[in-house]
This record gives sequence, structure tokens and C-alpha cells, in this order.
Amino acid sequence: MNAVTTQPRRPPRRYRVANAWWTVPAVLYLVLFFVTPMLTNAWRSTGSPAAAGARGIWENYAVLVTDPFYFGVLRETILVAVIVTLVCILLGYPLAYFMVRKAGRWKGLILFCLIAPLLTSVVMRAFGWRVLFANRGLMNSVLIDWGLLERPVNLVNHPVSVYVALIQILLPFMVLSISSVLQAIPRNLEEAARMLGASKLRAFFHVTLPLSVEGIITGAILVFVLCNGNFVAALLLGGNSVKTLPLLIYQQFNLTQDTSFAGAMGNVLLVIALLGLWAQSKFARKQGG
Amino acid sequence: MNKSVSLTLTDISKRYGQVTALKPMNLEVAPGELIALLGPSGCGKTTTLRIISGFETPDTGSVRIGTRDVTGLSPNMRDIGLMFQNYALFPHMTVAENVGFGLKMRGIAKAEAARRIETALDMVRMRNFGDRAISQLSGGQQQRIALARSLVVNPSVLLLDEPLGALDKKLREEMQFELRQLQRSFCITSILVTHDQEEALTMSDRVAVMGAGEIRQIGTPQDIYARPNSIFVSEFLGTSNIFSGKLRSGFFVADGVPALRIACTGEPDGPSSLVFRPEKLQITAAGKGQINARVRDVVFRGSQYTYELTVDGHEKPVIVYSQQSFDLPGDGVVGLDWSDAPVLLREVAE
Repeated sequence: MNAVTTQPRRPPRRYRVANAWWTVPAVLYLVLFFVTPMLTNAWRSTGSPAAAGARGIWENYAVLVTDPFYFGVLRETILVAVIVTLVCILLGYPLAYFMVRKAGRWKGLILFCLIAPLLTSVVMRAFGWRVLFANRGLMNSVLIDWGLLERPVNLVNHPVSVYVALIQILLPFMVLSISSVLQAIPRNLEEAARMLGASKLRAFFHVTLPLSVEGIITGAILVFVLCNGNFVAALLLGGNSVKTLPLLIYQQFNLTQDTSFAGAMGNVLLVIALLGLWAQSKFARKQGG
Repeated sequence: MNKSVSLTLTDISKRYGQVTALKPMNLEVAPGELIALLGPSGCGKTTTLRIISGFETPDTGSVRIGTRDVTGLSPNMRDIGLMFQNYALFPHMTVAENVGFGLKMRGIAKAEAARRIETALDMVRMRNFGDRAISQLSGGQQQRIALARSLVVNPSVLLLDEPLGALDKKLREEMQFELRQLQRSFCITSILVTHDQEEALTMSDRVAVMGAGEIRQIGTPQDIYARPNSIFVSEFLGTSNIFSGKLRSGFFVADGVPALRIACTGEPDGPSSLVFRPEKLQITAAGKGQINARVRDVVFRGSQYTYELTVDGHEKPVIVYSQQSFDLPGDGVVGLDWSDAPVLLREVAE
């Protein structure tokens, strides 16, 4: 919280081995494979060779915002991200708290369980959920065996499976963001609050929670931005029941091949992501005082 | 001005698995009294503090504040103030919000709370600091705010956990007096947990020296200093010159130093030790004292000289404090004398 960072001092000039030319390969690489595609994409999004004729520069963007279908998709994209983020906060905070304050020697194991899935491809995990949620999948057969269900419920191609998969994919980012902040809060602050007459719950809400808001915000923005860009879950589990921008971009490229419209949608996603990062940096600066 | 009450610990004990942190312990703190729990780390003083404050449940025994049995009560219901070693001030609140936290938890009206916060800040001479952030305060200022925060709610008992440990020496000495004065003026029953003997001696009415999970000796600072009941206590409190030896037919004779022979009547025979405090020893001309010693080193410490002497047959150096410096003979041999009788202990150091 205390933004007292001491900049490491640079060694005197004559001891410096590195010079600016050393960055040339990296800069070239970035220009070639990052800046150029971005600019191409921006340029492409302004006009469509496919639609012969006079579409204005902002035509693609205008369609996105005015056309009820596309605006609906934009809205659903953000809605999915907001819901997933909120659920991740609700599930992630208690887990992070437990991990930092109560788990003791089990903390390492929990951390491993959180990080291990990140080493598996998102596509594999989405397929995993398909197997679990399928008509004759594990979930249905177990629930029917236990007599909790009469007939199988098909969750594949249903929004629930998309949400579940997204939450599973993104929860680790939330937990790690929150736990790293919780870790830094001295435990005796809670004890001080208790000694001053606060119940466990009030000590949490007056001391621990306010001090960990930074972790929640960081985690929320991370999850929100990553969720906005994720199309695998909607593609493999949603079956068109959840239409988000990334999914639509994927379809524009593969089916309609309207690359300029896809480019425009990509730029909108980019702007949303940049807004998120901007909000986070603004918050961080405010916290730093 | 305060509802001073007593604090009574009866047979409290605590084990963690195989480790006994605290043997059954009894302690009675009189209303308004300040008792220091003094001991090395791992002696059980912190466990005792955590049992009193309610963060640990004792395996046996009870904690009573006045007539109230608080053994099963959670920390927030005990009406105890605790000043933490590192102050534990809330970094997301201002100074005034920190001090007012306990009042807020007790649901005290804003105007009344503001008045009490101001009085408390006045009391610790931090009147105009209410709007400051905690990170803007120095260590000593944080310490005052922590004190104000724990006193503003008028607790029945005040616990001080190594309160001055984080301050530098000069500030620590100042704060010892200030803390003591505030504690006296509030007449609040207090327990000071410390491993610093000077802090314990200067601040407390009584000192309880703890070791290995029990109270080894309890009494006024003067009493414990002058009459330690064991080698452990004598070594932990102040500097001691200990001669081990044997008591036989009314005489103590030090091992290896036959010249050190003192009449001790009324004590049964057996292994014993003599304890000499450094300021009770005097340096004389060789042969004029009770035994002879050789000066190995002299250190000037401002208010006094510290002499380090060796005595033939005695392994450890003998420390003597003196107000004056002496013209030492060429061979460094001097006499050692004492006016007050040394303390006889019926045990020998391992």
C-alpha cells in the first residue's frame, strides 16, 4: 500500500555494457508481428472490399452499435464477463482467505491445485466439461444413480456449461490476485480490531476486506479482460446459446470471411481491454497515494 | 478516575501437542498495578498474554477480571486493551479513525466519540495529528497513537506486548517514563510482557520472571534484584558474578577459590552458589580485600567504570562497577571486598 519504491540506481555510464542497439531485434520483432498486424487490422476495419461501394470509415463500428443483433452480442459479451467476474470474486475470495489464513501446511497443495489446470490447454478443459456435462456424461449418470434426477439434463450447448467452464478457467487468476494481497496484511491487524471490541465479522469487514480491495480489483479486471477475449468456452460448449464478440469474430473469419467486420469487432474488444487496464492503473495510483 | 479492577489467573496452563508452553500458573494483579512478565523467548509469557486477551484458550484454569470470569469469552467481549509490539495500526485509516475504532465498535455517538478522540490525542501529545495517515508518522508517534487507541475505550485491563521493542534506545527511555506516568494516572491494571530487563525494572510495580513455562520468581524490582531465588533469575535480571561451591558445617567454600570462605549459619550442607552484584564489589589494594584478583580490562562507560577481573581458580571473569578509576599496580593484582553479604543460592550452575 505504501508506494515507497526505491528505484535501483543505474551504474555509471562507463560501466554499462548494454546500449540502445541491443533492443533492435526485439523492436523489429514487435513491429513485424505486433504493430503491423494491429495497424493492418485497424485499417482493414475501416472498409470492406467485400461490400462493393461506399461504406464509410466507421460503417463497421456503426453496425456493431446500431444493429440490434450485433449490439445484443456486444451487450451479452460484457454481461457474461461481468457475471463470471462476480462469481469468481464470490468463489475466489473465501478460497484465497482460507488458503492464506487457515490452510497452514496445506497451502502448497491448494496452490498446486490452482496452478496445475493452467498448464492444460483451454481447449482440452472445455472438452473435459463436454464429457462431464454430456447427456450420458458423468454428472448425469451420477445424479440419476443417486435418484436426484429422473431424466438426464443436457447442459452441453447450454449457457450454464459456458459459465461453468469460464469460471473454472479464470478462477485461479482471481484467487492468486487476492491471496497475494491478503498475504501482505499482518494478522495482528485483525487481532487489534478484535481487542477493540469488533466481532470476527466486523473485524473482517472493517479491516481485512478494505485492505484487500486492491487484490479484488486487480483480479476482477484480469478476469473481466480475459473473459472478454475467450471464445473457446462459447464455441465448444455453448452451441450458439451464448453469442459473444470473440465467438462472432471466429465465425466471421471462418464462415462469412468478412475480415473487415471481424477487425472492427476485434478493435472493440481491444478497447474494452485497454479500458480495464487503464481503470486498474488509475486505481493502483490512487491507492499508492 | 478509573474503575480499577484486579486480574486473576488461576491454574492456567497450555500445551501444544507434546510441548508444554505454560505449566499451571497463578497470578494476581492488584487493581491499578503494573506487573511485568519478564523472560527469554519461549518462556510462556506470550502464551500467557494470548490467554488473557482471549486468542488462546487455556487447557486448564480460569481468567478473571474483577469478579467477572472471562475464560470462555471471545477477545472482543473482554474489555481489555492490548498494545501490540508493532502497534498494529490500521493503515487504511487516519490517526483519528484509528483512535476512534474502538468507540465506533461500541456504538458511541459521533460527537461524543470526536470529543474522546481529541482528549486521547491530547493525552499522548498528538493533538493536531488526527487527519494524518499512519504512514506519515514516525515510530514513536505510531507508538503513542497505539496507546491512545487502546486507552480511549477505558478498558479494565491494559496489556502491553513488548511495547517499546521497535524504538531506538533514547526514545525507548523517554517512552518508558511517559508510559509509566500514563498508566499511573489512569490507575489501570496492566501487564507488560517483555524480554528487556531494564524495561521491566523501570516500569513495573512487580516483576514476574518467567522461564520454561512457569513463574520462577515474583516480587518488586528491588526485591528480585537484591534477592534472586535462583541462578536463572539472577542471571536474567542484571549482571551477576556467580561462584559455585559447597556449604559444609556453616561455611561456604568456593570451588577452586579456597580463599573465598564465608560463614553461613543456619543452612544445611550441600552444593551452593554465591551471587555478587557488580556494584556491591569494591576494589582495594592487593591483600587488603577478602580475596585477590587481577584486572584484565577497564571500560569507561560515562557514568561509571566497568572492571573485568580474573580470580585464580574461577573460570568466568568477575565484573565490578565503580565510580572512580584506580591507579593499578604493574602486575594488575588488586583486592576484592564487599560490604553487603552476597546472595546464597542452594543450587549450582550446570
